[in-house]
Amino acid sequence: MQYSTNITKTGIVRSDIFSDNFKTDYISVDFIMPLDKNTATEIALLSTVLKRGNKKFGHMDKIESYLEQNYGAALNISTSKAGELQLLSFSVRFLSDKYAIDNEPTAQNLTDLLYAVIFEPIADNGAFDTAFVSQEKQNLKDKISALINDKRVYSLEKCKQAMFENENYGVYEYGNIDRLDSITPVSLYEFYNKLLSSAAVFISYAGVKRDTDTLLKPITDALGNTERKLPVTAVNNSVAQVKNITEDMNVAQSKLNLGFRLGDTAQKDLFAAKMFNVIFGSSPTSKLFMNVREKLSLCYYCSSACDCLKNVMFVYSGVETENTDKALKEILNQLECMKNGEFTQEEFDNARAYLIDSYIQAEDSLAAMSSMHTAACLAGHKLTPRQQIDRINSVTFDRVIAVAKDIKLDTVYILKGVGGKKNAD
Amino acid sequence: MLTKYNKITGETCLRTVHPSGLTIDIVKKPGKSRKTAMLAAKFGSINREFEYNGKFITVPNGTAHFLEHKLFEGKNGNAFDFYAKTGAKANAYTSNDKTAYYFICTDKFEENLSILLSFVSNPYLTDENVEKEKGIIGQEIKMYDDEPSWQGYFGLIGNLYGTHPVKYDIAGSVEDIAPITVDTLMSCYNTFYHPSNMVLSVVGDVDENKVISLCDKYFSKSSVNEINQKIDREPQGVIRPYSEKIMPVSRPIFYIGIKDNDTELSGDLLAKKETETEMLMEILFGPSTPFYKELYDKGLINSEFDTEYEMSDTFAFCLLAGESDKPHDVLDRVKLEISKFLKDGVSNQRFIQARNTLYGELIGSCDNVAQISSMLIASEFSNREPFDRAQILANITADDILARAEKLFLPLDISISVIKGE
Repeated sequence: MQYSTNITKTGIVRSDIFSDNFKTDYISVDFIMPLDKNTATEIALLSTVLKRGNKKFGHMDKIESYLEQNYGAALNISTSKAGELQLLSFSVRFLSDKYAIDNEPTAQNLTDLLYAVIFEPIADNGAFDTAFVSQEKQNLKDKISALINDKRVYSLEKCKQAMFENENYGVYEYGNIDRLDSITPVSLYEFYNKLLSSAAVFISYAGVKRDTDTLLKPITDALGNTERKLPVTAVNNSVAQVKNITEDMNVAQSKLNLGFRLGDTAQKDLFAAKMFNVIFGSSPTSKLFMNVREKLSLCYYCSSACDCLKNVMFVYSGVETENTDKALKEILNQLECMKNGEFTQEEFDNARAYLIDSYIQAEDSLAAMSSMHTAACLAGHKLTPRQQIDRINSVTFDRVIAVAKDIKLDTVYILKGVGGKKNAD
Repeated sequence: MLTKYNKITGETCLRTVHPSGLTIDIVKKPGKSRKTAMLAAKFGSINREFEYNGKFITVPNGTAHFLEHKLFEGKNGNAFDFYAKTGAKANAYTSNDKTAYYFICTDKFEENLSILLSFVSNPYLTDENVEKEKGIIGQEIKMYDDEPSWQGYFGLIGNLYGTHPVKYDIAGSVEDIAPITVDTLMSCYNTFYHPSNMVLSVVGDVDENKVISLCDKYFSKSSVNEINQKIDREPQGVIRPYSEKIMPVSRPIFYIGIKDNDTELSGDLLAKKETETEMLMEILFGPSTPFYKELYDKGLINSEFDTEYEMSDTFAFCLLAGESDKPHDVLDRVKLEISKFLKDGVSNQRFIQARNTLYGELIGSCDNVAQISSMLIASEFSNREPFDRAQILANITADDILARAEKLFLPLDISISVIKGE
């Protein structure tokens, strides 16, 4: 495994991960903008409009045919958030040249496609295709509305919106329906050009060793000479008053979501915060799993997850409506235990083994390695997985306790099931 | 140990049947950091009726899944507690026709394999821990009750199947699992968790001799256990062409199913059928087809639309799922596409594209130790050669696809299940 990261003079982060262990290769290009309610909808819309067609390869069906000819290569365009950043990510995964039956140059073929998708969309006179835009607006509207279909994701999102009412972190990465109406083929095209010229850009290659500078040169060249800088995430570690919100819905199971501010210590000690999260709630031997699920038998899932860029943590669980308070109390009780240092050397060692294993496992997947590397660049430390393991190994008991002591509950959001009696007798 | 080298994928499978009856498949992947093992029993939600202690019994729906939960618990603690010391990621799942337990690790492979073999071969069931699990599984069931995709999917299966036990929900209902006891679980364990009804697959940079000696430790020499069970055959035809359910969803979601009545196959023939059907679905409904373009452009489907072929040795069906305000228009277009295909056949270009896609997926899947491991289990349970798809794809012809289409679509047993908002 060979990692290298260079920053071009315009600020583009260019990374290569070379490995002989794969039969596929992977290229990704991420455009990174501040997460903002005035642009989130546009970025989400671009992720699907750009998939509709480009001048070189034609419409979506032609692009799909091209992917199929190239041994079922995958083209992905997606949007996601990390802290208060929004990413528009383009990636291709394809069979390495040497496995192509007729020796097709798959890497070149897929790089050509990636270039066309990003830089040569179907557009005329400063506007995207009207039919594409209006249909993708409808699709995005459906997608935003469909959030409610998955109650677990829906209730967590509602928890975030309540907790970050006045912070950009509360912006949903697929935007909002009201904003969609004001977007036109012209305004979207203007935004697209702004994104191309001003967003921070990460370009990564993972796969067999090759001359990636030559392969990816057209993409870096097309990004021009403007200076690019990574936007920052505003961290707020204080809680004035805990927010309690309950929403009723006709569902069989209630969903409990808790939002926490991780505090100053976690912000300065990222790797201790990661250790805290595993001991507390993100592994199947965590305090939450062992107590809320195994000991009290209150739920099927109860876990924690952190966004270290925003320095926050969420805990979520699906419980019987009448057990909501009991589960809530137990979750907070387990946090109290963490603050009091009531975890064993064994729990600590297990968490370390769990995290180290996760880093090493990533080395078996090009996409996982690539996204882990992107996360390291976003976090600013740019450490390779092996270097991060060294940091994990140096975390002490006391540092984890110090992180725990600083954590504050901010928001409790309950989706309360008021239906579901129909089956019981 | 039998060595099977597959030239096209470049992978080698080492296969042996242990004196206990356990089939062991090992694919060595030097240089990979991940190592995985999966131990599976050919016992899923469809295996409900069987002979035990001289008489035929029927266990409640959800029993196989319940047993999966319980096998994680040992006398000295939960399997997760042991894996936690090594950092391995472990889990298990129950499907219609199998229960599989696995871990993926980067370190201490033999220790992890011992944990896996030990907890699956030593059930620790008490009245108390069986009762406790009902609370946890009850919440899992309720989670599924609220999941529109799961409800839509099982709605479709209920439309397609009236006799075959695939029609029963894998987890059962809260009422189904209430009467489950230690005895219920042990009757299944003693019948279906015999090594001769199980397969162990191992993939990664491992020493095969150490794998075998660990199996020696946990599985003793034994004779094949003949399982006498009843799985009702499914007649042709659908139970109902349409069903709907009201749930809190923003937009209707649909599951269209086409029942495959050609189910009495195993081995090479089954493998060939699977590849042909997957190619056929790609040729008819894949993202590069005129069908897809037309429906997408008209807003009848969105990018959520997907197709799948679900197959076991006693049942099989094609699935087309998505979101649409007009699910019946999608259904009509699906039917039209099928009749056009039966008349016009397939162009050479589309045939090659579909074949290349499946070929690329196959080779690409060899990068993933977990995918190889699951594939090995599925192959063994249906008496297929590992990586057999590579050879099938090399030999397949357009005529094969057309012949498969005629078997699958004549008569056309099709149904749709819709989940709608209030």
